[in-house]
Amino acid sequence: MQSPSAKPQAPTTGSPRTAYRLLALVVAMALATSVALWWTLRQAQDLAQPHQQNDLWYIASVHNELARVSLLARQLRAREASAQDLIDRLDVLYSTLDTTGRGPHVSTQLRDALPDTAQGLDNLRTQVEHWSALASANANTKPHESGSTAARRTTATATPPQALRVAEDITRKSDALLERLRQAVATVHLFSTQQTDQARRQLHQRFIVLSVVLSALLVGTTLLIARLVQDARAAAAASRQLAQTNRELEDRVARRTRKLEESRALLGFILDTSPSDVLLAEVESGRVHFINHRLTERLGLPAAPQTLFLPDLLHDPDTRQRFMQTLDQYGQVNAMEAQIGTHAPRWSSLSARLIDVEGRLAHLLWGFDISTHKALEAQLRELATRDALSGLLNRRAFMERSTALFDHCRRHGQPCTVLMIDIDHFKRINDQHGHQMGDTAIRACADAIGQALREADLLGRLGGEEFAALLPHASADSARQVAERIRGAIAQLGLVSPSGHPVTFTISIGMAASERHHTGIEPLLPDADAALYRAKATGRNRVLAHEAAFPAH
Amino acid sequence: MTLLGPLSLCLPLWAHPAPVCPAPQGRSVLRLQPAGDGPAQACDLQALERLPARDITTALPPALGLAGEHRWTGVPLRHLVEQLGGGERSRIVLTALNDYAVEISWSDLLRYNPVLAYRRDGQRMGIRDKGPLILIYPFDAHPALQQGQDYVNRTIWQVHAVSVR
Repeated sequence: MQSPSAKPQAPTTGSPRTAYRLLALVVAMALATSVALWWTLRQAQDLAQPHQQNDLWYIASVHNELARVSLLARQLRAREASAQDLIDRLDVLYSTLDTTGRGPHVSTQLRDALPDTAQGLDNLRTQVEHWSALASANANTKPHESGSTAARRTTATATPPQALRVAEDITRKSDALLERLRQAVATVHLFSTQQTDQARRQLHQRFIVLSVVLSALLVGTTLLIARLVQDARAAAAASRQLAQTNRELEDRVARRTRKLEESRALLGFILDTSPSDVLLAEVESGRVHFINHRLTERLGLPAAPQTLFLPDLLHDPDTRQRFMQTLDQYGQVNAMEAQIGTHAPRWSSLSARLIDVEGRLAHLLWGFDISTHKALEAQLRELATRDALSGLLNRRAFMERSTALFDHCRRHGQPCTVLMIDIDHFKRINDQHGHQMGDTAIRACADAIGQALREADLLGRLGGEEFAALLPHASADSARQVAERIRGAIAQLGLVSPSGHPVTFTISIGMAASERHHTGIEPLLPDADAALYRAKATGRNRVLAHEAAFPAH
Repeated sequence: MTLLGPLSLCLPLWAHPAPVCPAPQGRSVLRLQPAGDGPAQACDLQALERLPARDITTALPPALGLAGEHRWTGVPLRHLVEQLGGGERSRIVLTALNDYAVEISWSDLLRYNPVLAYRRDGQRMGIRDKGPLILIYPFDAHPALQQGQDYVNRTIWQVHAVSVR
């Protein structure tokens, strides 16, 4: 039961005690089998060689031979047999009696079990040897024993007296001897049958023992088989149970996997349909874990890319450096405005996180498209800098830009000139033709001035009917030519009022050119203003420069 | 017999097998009864020794009581049987002085070629030594002979008659 394989069936089958019992049974069976096997092998060894139970044959042969010798002795006395025949028969009888060559079986058994009979046989052998010796000695002394046929034929007549005496002795003793041998035959027969029966009983007993052992083996084997069947059933049941549990587990795992996939798909759907751009990509390999459709489309890609590096998304190199530095340093970037995409970059508000995905660093990027917002912002900024009526820069914007432009000119050591332009008697136009005509006049005036200026020149409406222009890289002379051209263009505008009357007006222009001591545009504007005031005061529709008074026509 | 009767009349006198041995000079030790109704023949040892001989060197089963390995010299029984006109269908019976008799099968003669031995280790054997003739199978050369009682029984000693019928 301690074995691991037995663990699953422990609840169904018995305690360790059962196992110990079975073990003891098996050991006992093995022992019994070994003993039976040892005994059987020994029996088999005994039976490997044939051994003759020939006591009866032996005693009967002795009787027969003695009877023959007796008969031959009578024939010899009747001169019907030769002495040599008697000698031969005595030899046969002697060899029959001689038990030395028959192995230990015959003599020892008889000697132990039937000592009287054995003694009788021993006596008989001595007697036969005596007879044989007498007859042989007699024969050896015979003169014609060389063996001719004639001699043999006359043996009967020439039977020596020794042989005759032997024959007489045999005849006298043989009847009693034969009688004793007949009794011995009966005795040996009884003894043999008893021996046989004893052997039979012994064998019977041994086979009974063997049967018992075999029966025990059968019982043991049956028990073992029963146990094996029981174990096999328990194992099968455990296996079924295991399979069932396994199936349930697999089902559960499958359900959970499905749920996970569903929630993942849902998340993907949400992210795909969200108005933001989402990207999850590994830092080192650039492997894209997730990218939503919106970002894919925005990047102008036909399908979701396999690899994408976050820095490559950022268009502007400075922004890229700032963004990545912040992300590396703090692990996050929040709502940084940057342009993403390479071909047609768009403004986005980007947030990013440095996170761990499957043991690797990854960038998670969220982006909201703010290009519309940026466009609106630009539009607002434009609106804030332009005068709604004329479309020119308003006062504040003109001041800002003219300051920058002046600085630029000054840095390059180039002269620049400011023109202050004002419509003469503008109030009169308003009064005579209405405000709408006044607005038209201002717009027409702005257009005319704009057309007279170069691209690089700066023009703004400072308020009311007053305009200002900054002409970079322009000397006083060239600026004066421009101013005159403007004045001429205005005079020839040829506007018509809504009521059909022609409307004409003139402008006055004050000029101020930059000098070395001017560090900013601020002193230049009052100079130009002063020149304009002088032009107004001296009759209008003229161009006057500051300080150096230009004479009018 | 109806066929053989008239047929035997046509046969010349020498149709009977020739005598295996010449007339015995000494004491006859073997009586031979040839096939058919021919007269019995007698052989002495000298005559037997003049027949083709074969040696078998073997030990005998313990039950025979002749321990140790010996060289047996004698006439192959098959030769005697063939000389007596015997063959495959003959009944070959050997008889001992004490009237013990066994029948030897023709297949035994073919397979084992036993000899009717008259010498053991070059020495003649007396009646007291189970002689003068003993049928010896080559037990050592054929382990199959050692299994069982059959060839113990067929190893007949004090042989004094061979009959082929």
